[in-house]
Amino acid sequence: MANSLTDEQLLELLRDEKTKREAFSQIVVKYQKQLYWQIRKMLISHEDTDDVLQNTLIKAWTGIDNFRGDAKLSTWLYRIAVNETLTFLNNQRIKNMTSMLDTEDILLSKLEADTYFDGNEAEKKLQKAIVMLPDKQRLVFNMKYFEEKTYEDMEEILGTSVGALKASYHHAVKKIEQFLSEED
Amino acid sequence: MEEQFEHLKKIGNRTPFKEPENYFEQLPSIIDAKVTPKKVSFFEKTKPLLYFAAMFVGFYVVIHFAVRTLNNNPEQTTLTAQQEKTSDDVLYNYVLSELDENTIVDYLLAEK
Repeated sequence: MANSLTDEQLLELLRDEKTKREAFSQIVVKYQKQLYWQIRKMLISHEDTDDVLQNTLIKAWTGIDNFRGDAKLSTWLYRIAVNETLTFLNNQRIKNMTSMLDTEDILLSKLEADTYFDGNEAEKKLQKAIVMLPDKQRLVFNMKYFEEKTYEDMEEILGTSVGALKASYHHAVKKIEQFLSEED
Repeated sequence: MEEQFEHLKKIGNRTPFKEPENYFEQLPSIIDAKVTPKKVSFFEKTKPLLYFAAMFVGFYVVIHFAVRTLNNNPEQTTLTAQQEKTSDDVLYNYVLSELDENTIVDYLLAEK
């Protein structure tokens, strides 16, 4: 099966039990990178990202029969990934409730220890600033700034109005710039 | 807004992380293995039932031997014999206490 199948063709193949598995494998190949980087920017650590991405794809497989095609396939997968990521972060918060560390501290320590960090000092500072943002604002900032998604696409994925997303992004940029100027 | 991007503009929007080598080559087969229903052998299917049966047999054997051991206990046997002897004596003494001399003579004469 060629790699260049469109979402419509893949959905068609998913409806047939004989081609369903192969079609899903193609979906994994097609979207794994986008989903990985979206999750990775939120969780920093590769190991955590790998866990969440695998859960995301398994959930997609178990729920694929309920996917009616109202949204784009990519949007549907992004939504699952966002939910899994936020659930992971919330669980981490609950787990660390007894310790004095909060999720931001944990993410910062993961950033410092990350052997797969591939940036310069300025990029590390930017990541530190992003980690300080609330989860939803971080999501919005990453989608807009790094992935250059349109507000309309983000609205579909996050279920938040374009106006609210613009405001959220604006606040995030302000906080990050402030953090970076204090660091200078 | 333009002014606000001062630092961000300098840094750029490159993602400063990398993934482990061959990660994206290996992930599809990992997912494929996870979503593939495993073929379950007859033994695997009946394993819980077999475990339950073995446990039941085990219990039966343990209880059976425990009961047998208790029944074969010499102390227990002696005690039972003693108890039997004691109850015979009680009965004999009771019968004797109920009989007087005349009754015994009458009985012996009647026998003749």
